[in-house]
Amino acid sequence: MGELTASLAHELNQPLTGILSNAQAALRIIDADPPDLAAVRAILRDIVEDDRRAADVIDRLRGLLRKGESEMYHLDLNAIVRAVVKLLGSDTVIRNVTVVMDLDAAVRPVNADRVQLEQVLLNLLLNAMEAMAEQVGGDRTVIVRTRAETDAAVVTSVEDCGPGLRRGTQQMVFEPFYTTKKTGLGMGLAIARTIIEAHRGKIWAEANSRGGATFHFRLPVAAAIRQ
Amino acid sequence: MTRVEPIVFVVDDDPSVRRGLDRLLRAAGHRVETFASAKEFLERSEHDGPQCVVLDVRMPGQGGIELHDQLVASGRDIPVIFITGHTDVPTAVRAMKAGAVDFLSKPVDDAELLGATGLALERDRRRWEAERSFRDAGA
Repeated sequence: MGELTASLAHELNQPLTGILSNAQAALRIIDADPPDLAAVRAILRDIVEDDRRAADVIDRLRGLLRKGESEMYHLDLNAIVRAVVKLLGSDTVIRNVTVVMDLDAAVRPVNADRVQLEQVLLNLLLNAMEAMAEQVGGDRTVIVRTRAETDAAVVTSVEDCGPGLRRGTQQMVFEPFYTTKKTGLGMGLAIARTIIEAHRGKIWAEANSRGGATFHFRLPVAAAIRQ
Repeated sequence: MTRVEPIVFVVDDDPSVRRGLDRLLRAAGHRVETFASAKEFLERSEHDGPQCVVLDVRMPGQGGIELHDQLVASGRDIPVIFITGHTDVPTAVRAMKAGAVDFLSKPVDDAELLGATGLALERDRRRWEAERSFRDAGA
């Protein structure tokens, strides 16, 4: 999802760039005497085409997140964590990272869209692994925890020992296009927040005792939603 | 003295962005050549005259930053203006330290782009004239 949304954002910026530079070129061309109307016509066609392209991108993004179209089931968060960690198996080997699962058997099912939750976890785990990418030697462990916080809520946490969050950025990291990576587009955590909030949950970040960052998200348990 | 026309090179993988920038720069009076990839650009013979490159950061294959690094490493001191789809401060800082003229975010506004290309071409004209008089003196 991180990569997917990143490429969607990129795809959206491309037609916007085409539209702006074409429109600004046209403004200059019509000021010429005589104006080259054939050139302006070609430009307008490109602008129409780019506009359609942008609309398609937004449609796809909406398709990913549309409420009501998501498929909500009672899901075992522990099972989802295990599935995502398994999915990342080869990545962890390549990046020489150890993922430790500390899963609370007492967590109750949540009412959630499996694909969307997997995407949130995937984003958080990939971020955690990337945060430690420049750590030479030493600890390269990511810890994923689930906890039954109360009878009504489950908290999932992803803890890394990378360089940690920059001071004062705990909120900012969830803003769209906020990134500290060379290649990221800063959409991963923004999308994670959108998904978690659509599930009536909450996501937040804090510094941890290993010097890294921990991302938590709290979801209501399925029975609690029905009440 | 022969008058050599400056060229603005545009490297971006997106055809629509290429056409838009090409038209805009032409409408402002520049001679422009566009390329769909770093590879295509590197295959073009070196232009003997003032020049600058408008370079997309994110492209499939070799990205803009890598292309710039390669140009610098091979001694081709062409002024580079980066254009990028997202604000990425560390990359921008790195690019500016490596000698980029500017780092503009997409969608690129004409005033910014034309300001940066004007500056880049002026800077490169001085470089080129110095090189040429050095060559002429040697010949």
